[in-house]
Amino acid sequence: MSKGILVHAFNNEAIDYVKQASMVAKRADKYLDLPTSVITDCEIEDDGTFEHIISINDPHRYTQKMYNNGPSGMHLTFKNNARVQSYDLSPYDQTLMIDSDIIICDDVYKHCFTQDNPLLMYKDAYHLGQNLDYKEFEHISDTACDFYWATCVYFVKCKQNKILFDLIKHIEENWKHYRLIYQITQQTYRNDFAFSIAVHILNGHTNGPLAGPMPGKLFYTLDKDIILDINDDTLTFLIENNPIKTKGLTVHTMNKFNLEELL
Amino acid sequence: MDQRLKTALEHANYVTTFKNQKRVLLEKFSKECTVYFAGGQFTTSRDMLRSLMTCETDIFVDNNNTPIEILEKGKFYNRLEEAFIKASDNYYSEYQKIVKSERTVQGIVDV
Repeated sequence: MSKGILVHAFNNEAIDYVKQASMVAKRADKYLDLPTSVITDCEIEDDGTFEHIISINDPHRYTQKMYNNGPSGMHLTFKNNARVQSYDLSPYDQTLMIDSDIIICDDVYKHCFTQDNPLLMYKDAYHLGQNLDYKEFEHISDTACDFYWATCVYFVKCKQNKILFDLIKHIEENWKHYRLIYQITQQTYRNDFAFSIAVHILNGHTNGPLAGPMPGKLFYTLDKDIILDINDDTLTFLIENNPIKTKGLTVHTMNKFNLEELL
Repeated sequence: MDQRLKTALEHANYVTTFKNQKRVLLEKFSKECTVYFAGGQFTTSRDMLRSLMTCETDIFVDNNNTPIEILEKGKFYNRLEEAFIKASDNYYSEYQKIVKSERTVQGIVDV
């Protein structure tokens, strides 16, 4: 069975997601010994960084999102709808789809490929700052289902996952309806919510075992946090004015401006 | 600012940074204590190592409550023991570095 990493890279007015995806590809090769493919609407020179460059020329329904860079920020275009097509577009039998702003610093993700569950997602994520043990998102809204992160999803090409991704497409196309049903206050479409709703529905509208837990923990820093340095597997952050240094821990870093400067 | 207060606040920053770094090291220890074997995920510990060889069954319930059949118990034990020793040694040595560093925020970050 073929296996690899899948990253989405849709540049906007200020953020070069392709550059971030290149970082993911290089680190996936180094730490996981896995190839990376990219789904993009940009022209990318094929220099061997990516195993496959998958072009989409019509990522539809753009949204606007606030991007912070430490204390400042700006509203930019967010092209996040193509993720629902990941199942159809992935060239791999076993795919680990991750965000382009995840800095891989260890080999934990490779264990996705050695277990039997065809679908793995993180339910919990841990902020690297003072609230490390605080579960940021338990549910997608006060009255609705469990929250799953679309940041990092492992899936095998199989009947069940085909049904799941088709359902996610349906939810994305009918977002206004599902947003109301699940009482989500945020108006803009968000992949985490669509994936969470789909998992909930396929579990029989309750909690269930459809999506197994990803190996390890998902650590993250916010876009209001600053990345001070990236040195191989050692990362240094400034979080709430306190420096935090990690070594050998993969971290989802949301400050994309800051990340790009350091790449 | 009163120098005594300034000194106290600087030390408070140091304490916070120390606490954060210790927590990050503990997370790394926890990660390194996780062993993936036969498609299952297990957390190694002194108790697990002690009990492993005395138990007759080849079925182990992993961290995700999935039953896993392990036929190579000797190999499994070795993997758990190796991971536990490495994780403990790393935790100790990294912790010693921050304890023995210059007792400032920069001192910890420079470790």
